Amino acid sequence: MKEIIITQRPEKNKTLILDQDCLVFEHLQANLPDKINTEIIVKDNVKVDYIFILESSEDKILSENRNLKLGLNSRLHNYYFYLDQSVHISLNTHIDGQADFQHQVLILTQKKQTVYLQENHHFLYPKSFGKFQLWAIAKERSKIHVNANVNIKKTAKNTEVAHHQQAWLLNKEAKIELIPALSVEPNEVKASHSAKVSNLACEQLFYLQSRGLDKENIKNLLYQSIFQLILNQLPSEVQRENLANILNKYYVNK
Amino acid sequence: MSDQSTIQQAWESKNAAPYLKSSRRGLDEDLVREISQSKNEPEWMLERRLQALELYNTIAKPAWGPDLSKLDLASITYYAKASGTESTWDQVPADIKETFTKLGIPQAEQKFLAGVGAQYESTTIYHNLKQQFKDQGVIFEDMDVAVQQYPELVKEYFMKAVPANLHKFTALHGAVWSGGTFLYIPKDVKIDLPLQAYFRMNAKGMGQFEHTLMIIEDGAQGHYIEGCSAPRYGVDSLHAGCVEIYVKPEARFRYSSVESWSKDAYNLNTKRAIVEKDAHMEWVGGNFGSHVTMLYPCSVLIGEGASADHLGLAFANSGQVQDTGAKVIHLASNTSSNIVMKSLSRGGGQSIYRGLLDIRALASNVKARVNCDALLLDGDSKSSTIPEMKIANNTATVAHEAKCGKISDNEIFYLRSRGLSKEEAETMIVNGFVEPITRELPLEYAVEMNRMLKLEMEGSVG
Repeated sequence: MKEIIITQRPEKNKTLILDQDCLVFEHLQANLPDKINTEIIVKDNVKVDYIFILESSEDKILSENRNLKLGLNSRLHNYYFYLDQSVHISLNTHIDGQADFQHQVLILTQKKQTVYLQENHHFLYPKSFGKFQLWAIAKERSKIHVNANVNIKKTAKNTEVAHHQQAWLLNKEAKIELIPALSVEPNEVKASHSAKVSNLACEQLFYLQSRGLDKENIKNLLYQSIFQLILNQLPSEVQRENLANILNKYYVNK
Repeated sequence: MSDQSTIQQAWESKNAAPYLKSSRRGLDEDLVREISQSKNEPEWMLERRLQALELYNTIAKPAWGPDLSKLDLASITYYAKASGTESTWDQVPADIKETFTKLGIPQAEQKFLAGVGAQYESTTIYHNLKQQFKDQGVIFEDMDVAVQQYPELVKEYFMKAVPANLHKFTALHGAVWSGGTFLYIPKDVKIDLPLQAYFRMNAKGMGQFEHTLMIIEDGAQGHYIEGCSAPRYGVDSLHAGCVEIYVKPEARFRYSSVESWSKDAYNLNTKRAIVEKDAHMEWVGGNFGSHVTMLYPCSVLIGEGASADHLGLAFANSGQVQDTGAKVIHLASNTSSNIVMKSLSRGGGQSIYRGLLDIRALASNVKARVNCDALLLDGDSKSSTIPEMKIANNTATVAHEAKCGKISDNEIFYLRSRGLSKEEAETMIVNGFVEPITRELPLEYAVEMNRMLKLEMEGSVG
């Protein structure tokens, strides 16, 4: 599978056309422009794994409008990471063909960071498959707001969609707002969504503390378990290692 | 309660409306003053009405939700008095009494209710409470009468839970409200029979704005059931009622409603309960009628240990938009809430679940759960779920889940193999789908709700 690595400062408006099977590793760090507009087009019959990491400790809000278009019989598996950065992201996906679309998002925030994520995913073609998974961990005084709309249009009969969000608030001042919206027009679909917000469960805390772990280590275990869930799904051993190295710094030293 | 064909006849029956000659369409300050004067209200109530009118004239219609652009507010009759209030059915005018008899109200009162209030157009035409409950200090009264007889109580609570400035239709309600129910249950009194109110619109282009105010004192218990209907004329009618419930410490209260407004009615109701320490509030609702419904019963949990359950069912048939849901605001610690919503859509109907779960920063150890399921009965209908969760305290545990789909082909096949027709099989499955809601109603009302479901399902192909 071809690999496309993107690590450079992006142009403000960028179009990426994917016309062969590939893995895209897009890792954006410092010196990012305030606003980015991106369009990603996955052509018919193409399979893509897309790892997108946006991390920076810059004290400014980044905003991005990202539009995705999936062709007939295509497959796009997204792994998006918003790490240690205030961002405003608007993501619109049009699934125009019988496609397999998976979108997994991990958000880690701390200090006074704010992540505002507005997602609209439109299923327009029959027999498509969509899986949406969000994990979010908010620490200190950070805020996370996710408004994710999955729209299954009348033309998208026999579509199957599962939409799940799970969030942890690790400090008293952390806040979260989740709206996992689902709009269904045809009756021949299977659609479900769920959301869960919690802290570390008392029983889990007690059990692990009784095994000699302190609270910081327990939080690290939480991070590790979520990271492992995502890493296990990546097809490339090399990229799994790269990603693990990036994510590790979020729980080893914090 | 009545059988199916009688229910339909009762909903669709239309009486002559000679009282409309002394009414007019549209709303202005003169009408508000006339309403207040005809009720001989104290000055403070007139002032509140006029303040609400001013708000109504400045607040815009909501920019979200179903399309209200076709609602012509200038063509609604905001006040029409058909009759005075009686305490026996024999004194109620014959045509009005016949309507309520077809709806089964007097019969229900005799058999299993603690008291009944019946409103026809803008005023209550019948109100009665069984003596045993009066003896315990329970007050169950027409709201217009309560303003006169219990002014201090009413003034303390009236439109405090639902202020006029909340949105355009609470402002409208504040200006033109008429009729409704006042319920006061004293400390530690437990009413073991339900109380019922029934609201009936009769005339063409009518508006109904009843105000329901309930105060459930410490340790008290009660159950109140509300029903409503209107015949169909093909012109808009409007229902913008208001329900305020105050559940004091350790009290328990259930509010059930079965709404079957005509399919040209706009049902823009506002309901809110303030729940204090260790008190419990339950909302059980079925929404079948109206052209457009926007209804989101709200529980505000202000006392530690308070809890609320919201159980709701919405059926959106052809030409209908049922935009319903629930709102729970957790302001105190150790509070809990449970929301279960079921919706059905057929014939191009749209059902929307719109909910808010708001856990504030000072509310620790909150447990909240939302479960909303939607059944699409054909390929022309639409269902949306928009659950909003705002959590500002990290000790909260919140879970939300929802499913949407159609009736399983396997289940239909199985039931048909047992000799049921396709329609019977679908109705049985739908009854099973809504059973978590109907089982919370008294038996007679559960049976009525099932009959209403069957009526809506007639002709459903799936």
